[in-house]
Order: sequence, then structure tokens, then C-alpha cells
Amino acid sequence: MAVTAPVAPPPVPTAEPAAAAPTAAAQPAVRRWQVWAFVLPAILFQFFWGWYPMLVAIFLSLTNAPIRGQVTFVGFNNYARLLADPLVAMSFRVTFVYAGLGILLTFGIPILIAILLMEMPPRLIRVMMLLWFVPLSGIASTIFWQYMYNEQFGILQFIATEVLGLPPRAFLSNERWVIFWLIFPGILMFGPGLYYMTSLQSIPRSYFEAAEIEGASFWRKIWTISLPRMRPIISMSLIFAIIGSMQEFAFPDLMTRGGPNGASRTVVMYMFDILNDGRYGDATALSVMLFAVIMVLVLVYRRLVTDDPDA
Amino acid sequence: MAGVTLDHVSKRYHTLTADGRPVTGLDDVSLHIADGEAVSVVGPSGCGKSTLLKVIAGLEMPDAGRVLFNDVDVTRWPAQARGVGMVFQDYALYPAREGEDNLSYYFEVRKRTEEEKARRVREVATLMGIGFDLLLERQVDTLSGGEKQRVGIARCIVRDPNVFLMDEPISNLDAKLRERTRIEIKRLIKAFGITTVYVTHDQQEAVFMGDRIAVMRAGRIEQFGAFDDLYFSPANLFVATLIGTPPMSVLPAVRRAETLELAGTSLPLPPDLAAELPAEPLRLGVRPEGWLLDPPGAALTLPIRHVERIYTERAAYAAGDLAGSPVHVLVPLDFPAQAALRIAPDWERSYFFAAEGEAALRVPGPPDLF
Amino acid sequence: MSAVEVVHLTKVFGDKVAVREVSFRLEEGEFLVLVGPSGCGKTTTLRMLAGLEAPTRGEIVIHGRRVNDIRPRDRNVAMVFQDYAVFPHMTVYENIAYGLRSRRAPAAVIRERVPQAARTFRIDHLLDRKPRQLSGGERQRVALARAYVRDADLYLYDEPLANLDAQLRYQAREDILALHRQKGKPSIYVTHDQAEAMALGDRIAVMRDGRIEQLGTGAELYQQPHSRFVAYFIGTPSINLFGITLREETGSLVAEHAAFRLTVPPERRGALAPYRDRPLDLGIRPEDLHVPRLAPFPVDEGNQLQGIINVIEPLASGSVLYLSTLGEPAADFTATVRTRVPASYLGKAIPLAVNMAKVHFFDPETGLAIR
Repeated sequence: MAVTAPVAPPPVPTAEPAAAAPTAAAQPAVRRWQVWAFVLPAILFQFFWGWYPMLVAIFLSLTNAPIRGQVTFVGFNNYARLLADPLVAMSFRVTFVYAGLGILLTFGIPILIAILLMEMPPRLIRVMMLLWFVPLSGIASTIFWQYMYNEQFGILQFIATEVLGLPPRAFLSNERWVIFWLIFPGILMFGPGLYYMTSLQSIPRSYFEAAEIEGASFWRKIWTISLPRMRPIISMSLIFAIIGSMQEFAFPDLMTRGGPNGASRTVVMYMFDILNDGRYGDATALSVMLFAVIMVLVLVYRRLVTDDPDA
Repeated sequence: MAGVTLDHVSKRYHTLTADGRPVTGLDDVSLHIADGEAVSVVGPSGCGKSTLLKVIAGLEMPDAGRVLFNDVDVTRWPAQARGVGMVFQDYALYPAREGEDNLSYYFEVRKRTEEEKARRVREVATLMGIGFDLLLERQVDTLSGGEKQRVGIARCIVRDPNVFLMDEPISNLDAKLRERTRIEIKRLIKAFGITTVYVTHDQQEAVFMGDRIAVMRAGRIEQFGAFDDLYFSPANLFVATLIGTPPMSVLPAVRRAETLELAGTSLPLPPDLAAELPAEPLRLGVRPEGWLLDPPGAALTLPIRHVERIYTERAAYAAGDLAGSPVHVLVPLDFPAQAALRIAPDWERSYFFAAEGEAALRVPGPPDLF
Repeated sequence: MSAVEVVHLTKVFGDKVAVREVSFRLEEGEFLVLVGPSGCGKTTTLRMLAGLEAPTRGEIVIHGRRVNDIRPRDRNVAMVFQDYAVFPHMTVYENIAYGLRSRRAPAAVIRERVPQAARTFRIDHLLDRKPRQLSGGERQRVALARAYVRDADLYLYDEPLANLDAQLRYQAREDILALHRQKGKPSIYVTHDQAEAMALGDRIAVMRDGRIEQLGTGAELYQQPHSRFVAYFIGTPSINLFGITLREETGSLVAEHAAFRLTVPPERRGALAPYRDRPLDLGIRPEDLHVPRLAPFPVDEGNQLQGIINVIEPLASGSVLYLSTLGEPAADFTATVRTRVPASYLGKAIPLAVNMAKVHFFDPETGLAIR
């Protein structure tokens, strides 16, 4: 069972929180039961799909968690076994590298692209925003990249040998490079670029014009106007990127099945392997461990990055 | 139609504005508006004037106090049941759904037929004046701001509202259009004789629209009265400086015996006035027309920063600073350019306020013209 | 050489001509106001001067340098925006210092000038605040301080008072004039409010449909309008316009309207004679209508008209009367009188004397004044 984490597109903050706030008060008085009527569905939903499985998972991780039969309480035995398993440590290492390198290589690019695109003519901006809207099937793009990386007929191999004249290389079967090649497609897809563009479009034109007249260069405008105004959405995307990439599963599983020699086996993939062995107690314990690690990361992040009401 | 009474109405908000201050509500507001009367509510942004309007409309429920239409307590009535017409700043003729519901509600409850409805629309269009029927045929998005507001007002009038509520209906129009539209609105209010509450931040507009004017600040009504009451007998310094353009000059002064020490000059006071004023620091308020130009005897010297000529009023205003406060003096239109001006307050038309706080010590009251 | 020179400036957006052949010169230290209704091209003209829009045709010359192809930041202009464009994520201090930092001014200069500019506009106690915590008036003064802190060659204002509460505008005008006087540089100010234009401008350009309809001092625009539009636009309450026909009667010209007949003074005869028996527009300023007993000129049958009082607006100095002419169709007009008219006159018909020496005549087709 994977760790449940809220997965929702980050909301697009408006540029003028100051103007928006008082309207909340402009609503007519709402009775107490009405408040509950509005809030209850969300609470129930969150309970049944979020907190309840969480609590069950924590409980199961302390038992032998059989599919049927007597549930036996085993204390921290599952955890002890996992900590003694070198493959668990390896899968965490892979996950950290995958998440760290992935965010490092892919996170900044859509921001920069969005900012540069805003300088383009409005028509081009609209086309780009439309392209970002086009839904891409994960499976389809996975198959496409499998073909790209094919070491005999793949396009990348063709480029490497025929165009660049390099010796043939192993892409996904090289232990050192496999994670890079798994991340590489992400560099070319501008993920949350649409959110950034919407956020940029909500910045009043006059800010840029005033900055321009005040003598700001192109880069200074980006540094002092665009980026600070995008800060809430960047911060939000980053936290979702951290949570998401720590739980990476489908793409590497389809591309490499964790190979070569486990060099691309993430925690969730290893959890899946354990499940397939029928070790449900160990699998839930691992999921709880991953949850704890992500929780710590999120808390550290919230500590480092405070919300700025002026942003 | 109905008179409107607010009886000790309070409304507190628990939300905060973006800068962390509580949203201004209403603080024990009592107000009686007679049937058919037009009342303006004026005050700076965030004084609670829009909240007042919403409480009358039923869009906000007060925490305490009562709202009465004629003698009927409507405090707990929803907006739809109150039969009010509302015109907003941004032409939102009515919150879309409620507007329609209200319209049909009205015609259903009063059991009016389609023909009657059509007849009423025709009547209103005639009363709205020349060219209004032409406006009705046009698409809403082809109308100018002023035209949209006229249609908005007509839609309210068709419903034969008990009370007409307007929230800065013309502040989005440009100045010249504003001038024309406000005359139209005023004429319509007069023609239909509907009880009207008109909210604005512009005191000139408030004076124009209202038979009486309520001055608000921080959720309270500071003074409620006709223009002359507010202008000549302001309740406090706030009302005195809010009403009148250019604003009243307020200067720190001290009374000593029979003189007033002001900006380093001693001005002799009339004996009866001197007797009325406390012998301590106070503040003198003088309106632009309340200065005597080049008076005999003791006078202040006002260095002139610039002169603004208002041809329509056949007058000009000389602006400068005295004792660190801005001063505007009404001068003739052909006032020659000069560096300084000798002036003295006309005691008959002077206002006196306490040095601390805003209490009025003495106000001139309406002038005796005849 | 003029400080600023604009020659045949034209801006076309798609198939819409926003600014049409606008030309003017501005001397050092002069304050020019561009005024007109919304959509008249005044803001587009200002934005072309700032460099925020590229002119389609024409030239902009600042201090002898043609700036058409020069980027806004290299034009050395300062601009105050209608929404103030104060950056919400920076403190007041950083907002004011923004231009100096962009131009890599030495730290010592920034430390000296920023507090000084803040003091000039009475915001020195707010330097550490963020704009969110400021009132509208304070934000506006931050924008003024940001313009003030640099030494620009040209100061531009795009309706800087439009978002302010009415009572704050008086002080804000003084602040703008203070900035202008201290800098002694040419300034161009855009507004839709003629009262603001008359209060601020050394000269005023009245714009309409992308053209400058008339350029002159406030007194010139008010007393000698070139056109019906200028006459209507300048002055509040607006000039009263009546459609009349000129008739020759017993040796004098008479302006004939459904509700009144006014004798044209002999000295106007020469210019008006060719328009005999033709429709004309007659313009009478509200203050040129007098209570007959108090009129500063002899009153007779030939200079009176009647009106029913619809609304009386009290002023400190008198009243504004909103009237309609008698008869059908009734025309609305306005009179400002220097006496307090009691409310008991509401709905009554009263006579008013017209100062015929000051009325204006306009050709109804071209809208031009006849002199």
C-alpha cells in the first residue's frame, strides 16, 4: 500500500491578496449547521481516503498482517527486518538521488521558460498554453521513451553513433547513468509551466512598466518582479514535486523494472516487490517509513520557507 | 414605498482585511429616513457605509438592533422579501440570479399579469426620459457606463421597490459623464419619489444627491443632517473637514485674554467671542470664504504657493501654508499674481475646536442672510 | 530649443487610430495637462512619451534627442501610474530606492536620498512597511517619492489621483505641484477631470478622438473655446447648449429658440450675419445666467429666459439651479447663482438674465466656434 498524499494541482494565487480579502466578509450571515453542511463532505472524504488508511497502515505495520487468519502483534519486528535489509537502504538512496537530481534538473526550467515565453507575442503565448493543456498519456509517453532509449534501434543511439560519431552507449543498462536517463524526459516536459504562466499573467502590467521606466534591465525585472510575484506558486509546486518524486514508481518500473542490479529501484518499487513476495507486514512498515521520511522533508521545507503575506 | 429606520444596529465582522485590521462593521447605528426622502451616506473608504447599505438590503444580518421598513420589523427578512432595488458601482445591475428571482417574485406575489408588466415597463421608459426606449433595444455590452447605470436604475424602478439603494453608482464613470449622470439619477429619484439611500465617498456628490446627509466614520454616524447643518454646525472636526471643498483650514492657536495667538501673530478677538473660548490652546477652523482679505488692523501673512482659478464659480483659491497647515483662501477670479496675502479670519464665520480630540467648541451656525 | 517636442505623433492599433497627428512643444519647467473623455488617446500619447508604446508615425524629441527608438529605461523619464505600481513585495524604502538601485547609484547616495524623498511626501515613518499596510493615499505618495528620488528629464503622470478618495485629492495635487516645482523639469499629466486639469496645468491640451482639439492656458480654453466640445468639456457645471435659429428683426439679430428669444449684441453682428436664418448652437455658461435683480448689466426683454427649477444644489457661496425650459420639448439647463435659493422655489418658473456679451455661438455641423 502506497503512502497516501494529497495530490491536487496547486491553486493559482492571485496577485493582489489585499484586494480580494474583504469580499469574503461580504457574504450574508451563514447559520452554524450550514457551515457544517459545507465542511462535512470534505472532512468525511479526507477521513475515509486519507487518515483512516493511514491509521490502518500504522497498525498493520506492527503486525504480521496476514491476508486471512489471525492477526498477530509483532511489535517493531517488521521495522527491524527492514533496517537490516541492505536493499531497503539502497532503495532509499536511489529514491533520494532520483528526487534530488530530478528536482535539480527539471524544476527551474519550466519557470524560466514561462518567464521567457511571456516576452513573446500574445498569440504564441496562447498556443503554448494550449499545448500545455493537451493531456499526455503516461503510458504512451513511456512507450515512446522506451523506443527512444532502445540500444539497437533507438533514436538517441542513432544520434549518438551516426550524428555525433560516438561509440554506442548503454542508456538504461548503465548503473551510473540510468537515473539521469530516467529524469531526462522530464527536462523536456515543462510540467507545471501552465501554472507559472497563469501566475505571471496575473501580475499587473504596470509593475513591469514601472520597473522598466525606473531603469531595470531584463534580468533585474525577472529577479525583482516576476520571481517574487511567482513565489507562492513556486513554493507550492516545489513541495508537490518533492512529495511526488519521493513516490516515483510507474515510469521507472515500466522503463527499467528497477534494473540494472537495482540501480533504479525506488522505495515504492521495492515495496511492490515485497508485496509480491506476500510480506504484507514488511510492505506496510516500509510505506510508513517512507511516509515518515516525506513528512520530515515537508516539515523541514515549511520551516525553511515561510509564507510571505506580501508575496 | 417605505420609510427606513435603523434602531441601534451593530454588526461586527470576524474577518480581517489584508492588513490585519478587522473589517469595519457598524457600531450602534440609529437612523431614520422618511418615506420618499433621499439620504446620502458619505465617509472615507472603510467607514462602514457599504455595510450600512447591505444591512438595509438584507445582504448582511446585524448582530444587534432592528431594521424597520415603515413600522414593520424586517431585520430577519431575507433580501428577496424586502423589495429593495440596488444599483452597484460596477453596473452589476443585481446579483444575477437574485435579480431575476426578485423580479418574478414581485410580479407573482402581487398577481400581476404579463400585460401589466409590459405596461409598467412602458411607463418607466417614458419617465426615464428621452431615448430610453432606444437603450432598451440595444445589447448590454454596447452601452456606455452611464447608459448601463440608467438601465440598471430603470430595472430597479420597474420593480417598484420600497427602497432604492445605490452604492457609488457613478464612481466608475469619467468626470464629465459623472456630472451628467448624477443629474439624471437625481431627476429620477425626484420623479419617482422613492426613498433612496445613496452611498459615496465624494462629499460634493453626497450634497447633490441627498436631502439629508449622514457622515460616517469607523462604523458610526458622526452627524446626520441637511447640508447647512453639516457645513455651518459640524458636530466635530472630522465632519467640518470632510464637508466643503477646498477643505477647511485648521490652525493651532491659543487664546490669551482678548486676543488669539495664531502663527506668531496676535489677533484681537471680539469681546463676546473671547468670553466664549477657553484660555488655552485650541484649533481654529476657517473655510476658504471665511477669510477677510487685506483687513484693517492685525493680519496674518500667507505666502502664496499657487492660485487655482475656478471660472465656473467666478472665483479663485490661493493656497499656502500657515503654521505648517495648508490654507486655501477664496479670492476674486482676477486676483493678480503676488507672493503673499494679508488675511484675517472673519470671526462670524470661524470654527473653534479643542486642541486635543475633535470636539467643536464653537461653530458659526447657518448665516443670517436677510 | 524646447525641452520636449512632439511632432505629428500617430498611433494605430489594428484598424483603430488611437492618436492622430498630435504635435506640441513643452518648455523647461512647464506643466502640460492632457485632458479628455475616456478613449480620447491621452493615455496612449503619454505611454508613447514614456516608451511603453511605439509610435506608428511621428517623432518624440526630448532635450534635442530623438527618442522614438530608445527603450523606456534609457529615456530617463519618471512616471506615476494610475494604480501606483508600487511593488507589494518590497518595503517602502526598497520601492523608493528601486530606480536608484537599477541605475547602480552608489549606496551613499541611496542612503541619503531615499529618506529625504520620503520626508518630502510625509512617509518617512513608513519606510519599513510593506505597501499592504498602507492606505491608498500613502501608496500614492510612495509612487511620487519613487519618481522624485531620481533626476529625470521628464515627469509623466497617468491619472494619479483617480483612485483616491475625494478629500485626499486636494493634498495630493499640492504634492504633485511641489514635486514639479522642486524638479523644475517638464511634466505631462493625463486626466479625465477638467477641474484637475485647470488646477494643475500651465497649459492644457483638450483631446478628443485622438486629436488635440485645443491647446492653451486654462483661461483661454474657458473664455475662448475653439469648439463646442472644448466649451462643453471645460467647466463644471457644463456650458448650456441650445439649438437656435438666427432671425433678422428690426435691425438686430435674434437667437430664436422654442422657449426664448435673445437679442444678439451689435458687436457680434459682423461674425454672425452670414448665419442668418440658419440653425446654430448657442452656448451659455451657467454663471452667465443671473437673477435679474442682481444682474451686473441692464436687463430687458431681449436678454431674459425662463426656467422651471428641478433641483437646487446648495453651495457655500450660493446655489446651482438645475432647470428646464418652458414648453415642449423642454431643454435642461443649469445656472450658478451667488445667492442661496430657498427650497420653496422648487418646481416654480423663474426668469434669468443672460449676459449676452459672454455667450458663444457654434456652427452645428463643424462644431467650431463663430467669432
